Amino acid sequence: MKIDARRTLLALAATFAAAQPHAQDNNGIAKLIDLRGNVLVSQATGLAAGKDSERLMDGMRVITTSNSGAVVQFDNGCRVELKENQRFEVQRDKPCEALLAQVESMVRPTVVAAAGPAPALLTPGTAVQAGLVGLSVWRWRQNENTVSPN
Amino acid sequence: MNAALRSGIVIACLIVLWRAVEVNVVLYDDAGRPAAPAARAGGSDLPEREVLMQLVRENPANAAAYAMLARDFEAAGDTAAATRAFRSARRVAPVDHDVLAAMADHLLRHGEVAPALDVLAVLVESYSDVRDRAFAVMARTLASGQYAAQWNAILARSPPWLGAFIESACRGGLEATALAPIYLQRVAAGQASSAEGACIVERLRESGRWDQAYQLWLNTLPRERLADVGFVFNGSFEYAPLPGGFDWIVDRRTMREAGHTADFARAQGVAGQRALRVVYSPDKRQAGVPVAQFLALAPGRYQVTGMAREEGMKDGHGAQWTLRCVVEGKPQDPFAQSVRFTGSGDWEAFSFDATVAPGCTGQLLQLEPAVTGSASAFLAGTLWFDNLAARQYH
Repeated sequence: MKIDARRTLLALAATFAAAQPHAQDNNGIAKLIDLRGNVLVSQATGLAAGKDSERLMDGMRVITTSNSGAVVQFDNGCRVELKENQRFEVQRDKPCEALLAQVESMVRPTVVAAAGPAPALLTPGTAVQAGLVGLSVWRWRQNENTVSPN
Repeated sequence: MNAALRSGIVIACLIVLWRAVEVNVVLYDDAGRPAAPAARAGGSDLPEREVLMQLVRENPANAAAYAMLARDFEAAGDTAAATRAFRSARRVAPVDHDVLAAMADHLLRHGEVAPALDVLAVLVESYSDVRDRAFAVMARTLASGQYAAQWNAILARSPPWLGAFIESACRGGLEATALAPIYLQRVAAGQASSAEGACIVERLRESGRWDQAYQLWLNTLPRERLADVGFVFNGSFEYAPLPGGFDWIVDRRTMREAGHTADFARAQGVAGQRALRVVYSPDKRQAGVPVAQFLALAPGRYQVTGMAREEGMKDGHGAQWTLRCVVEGKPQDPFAQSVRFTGSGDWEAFSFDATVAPGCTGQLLQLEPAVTGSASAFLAGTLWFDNLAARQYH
């Protein structure tokens, strides 16, 4: 009887111990802090407004808009700061440097090509339609990213 | 005596009038703008230039004379003197339409783009009639990326024409990625209009940049609408759809034109105050889609859910919700669809599964006639929908 009780206790303890990581999963691996402006977090039904101290789970996305920002504070101590119009996917088992590098700016002016001829004239009937084709372009995140915002 | 005096007066008047006509012919072209002196073959224009110089000496505030002088210098190949003359003209008439236009033209022709941009900025600020042409040139300077200092100065001033410029440049085909940062800056300053945003979002979507389009669109939403964006936006149909972006696109044509109407009507027995109502005419073949929404779902499995109610849907096939990938702006074949809504019934929940494949970065959710092998359909009756949503399976 005593042996049975001990076995039961051991089984319960083992079950409890095994359940710990799972409980941690459900509780997330990071939290959203220092919210400023409009910050969105992906949920099961799509994006919703993020809340201060909201727990973030693996795979969740945090998106900031203009005049907004937030910090994703991982439980392991890694701190990822998001400025306006940035996007970040919460991921477990990644070194902090990799997480920091994962912050994606949605608005990034870049110059991509070399200079060309002068712009077209204002005079009608002259070279208005010509000019500046193939010049450097101030682009907005030129790379073709196929990742959905959701 | 009187007759002689009268004749003298008439002759004197005619002489003065003729002189006035002569001067005007020399100074102005047919459109009333200051005319450039005709270049003389192979020689200098000294006499005419002397006349212009004299006009300027007599009246240093004669902007038209300065402008003509500038053109004279330019025709003679003296660009530096022409530029100086234009500067003088602008000094005495800082917002004169013709001076500004001629000066911008001159500067652009001689590759002085940065100062030309400054002149154009003043021109479009003062005169709306030149905006179409000036905006086209200005858009090219923006696209070139070489005049960041001038554009930053313009953006810092945030002139009232900037919104019109963004719209014009967007409609004119300027790369949306060049306009997006400016637009977002205006959003941050609370100055952007929904029309500007709608155009840029549409352009980005058309060019396959769905994530950027979605991000930009998020920036256009009022704060209260960001509380619950969802995969399907405004699925409760409580708010009038916002133009462009990822809200509902409701066919605004009349019953007579489209064979259907769609609106967000007050309804009983549903969550909230309103629901989507689509009425199909029994007398008209339907053309087009009454309501649709672009989505930006990440690849994965989803369940689309909603509430539906049918009222006298007589056609045997009915209507159904479909999901299609959008590639290069064109909806593809459906990859998921709901049940068909026919007959009559009370509010009932419906759902259907959808798997978004990798590469399908943008989708279209739309209500369409459930017909096969035909571009049009005959539907009659009314359909109600509410609480449309999508949930991702994990």
